[in-house]
Amino acid sequence: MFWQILFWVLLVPTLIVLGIIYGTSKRLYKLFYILATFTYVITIAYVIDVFDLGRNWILGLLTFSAILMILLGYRLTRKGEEPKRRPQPTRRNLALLFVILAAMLLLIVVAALNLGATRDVTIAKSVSREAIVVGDGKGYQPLLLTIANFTYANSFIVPYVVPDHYFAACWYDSAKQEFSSEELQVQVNGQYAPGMTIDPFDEVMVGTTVKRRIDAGQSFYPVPVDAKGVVNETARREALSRYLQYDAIVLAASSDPFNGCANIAQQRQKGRLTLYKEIPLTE
Amino acid sequence: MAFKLEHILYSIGGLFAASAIIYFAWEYLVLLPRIIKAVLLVCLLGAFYLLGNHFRERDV
Repeated sequence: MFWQILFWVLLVPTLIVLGIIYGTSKRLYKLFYILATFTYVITIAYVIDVFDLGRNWILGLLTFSAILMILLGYRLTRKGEEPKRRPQPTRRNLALLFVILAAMLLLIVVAALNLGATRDVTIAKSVSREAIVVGDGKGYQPLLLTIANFTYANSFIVPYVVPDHYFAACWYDSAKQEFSSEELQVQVNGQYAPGMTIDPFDEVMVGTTVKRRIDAGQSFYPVPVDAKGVVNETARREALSRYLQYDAIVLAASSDPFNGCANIAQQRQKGRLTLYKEIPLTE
Repeated sequence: MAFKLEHILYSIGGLFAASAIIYFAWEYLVLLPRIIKAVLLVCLLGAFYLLGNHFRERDV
């Protein structure tokens, strides 16, 4: 992600240079040339950063950029910086500009529509309260149950960005429509990270599929066993009693991170959730 | 140089335009595939260059 750092580091001096150049020359065209140069630098940094390029490609890009900039500078020195005003300015540049802008718009629409992308979701019809709270009752780690499986496929040439980057699961009281304050532990493909952030660059290429298995469990150490291996029944019942008021767990997915269970409701209100499912609890 | 009302309005308009572009990139473009973002950057670079050429021809 060094391209983002470079962007913000270069933005401020670029803005200052733009201000100085415009203040001294009063010419707009110079500003656009500087903006084009700035965009070029960011493009090269972005390509190097996010694509898994080999050493030779990176070296080639850097060398090409160095030669390009030196040649441009040399050409400007030879020709002189000031423009020669044409008696009748052409419209070729403007026509090309509109073609480029139309191409950009088309690209955005085609990529956003995700033609050929599919998402198949299977979600557990119900979950055992006891299994999700105390598991088998014999371990210090919670037993995680698989509550959903996602399969993403793409048959279109443009890569499909998986929309579900973040997952959250919370206890839910459907009568009161209230979430618990504590989240269930959620793992995606067996990986645990608070907030469940997934690689934001997870893209489904044409003809391939990406699978995600969502497991959930109560995240505190539930029912210890004593030295003889006997389950502490009091602790088991106490752990269960903390969750008797809830009759479901909610699984939510979003492209925005979750900040606690209350955030599920907020994101749902704003229409940001890519999945919201209430899974009933069974005794 | 005396500041005219239109200069202030131009500046505010420019700020709104920049904010709209940044918000659009933040909320929508971020969800596009990497290759599309790279192509969009190249297109943007071309657009700035052509605008520069256009204004240069008119000595603006």
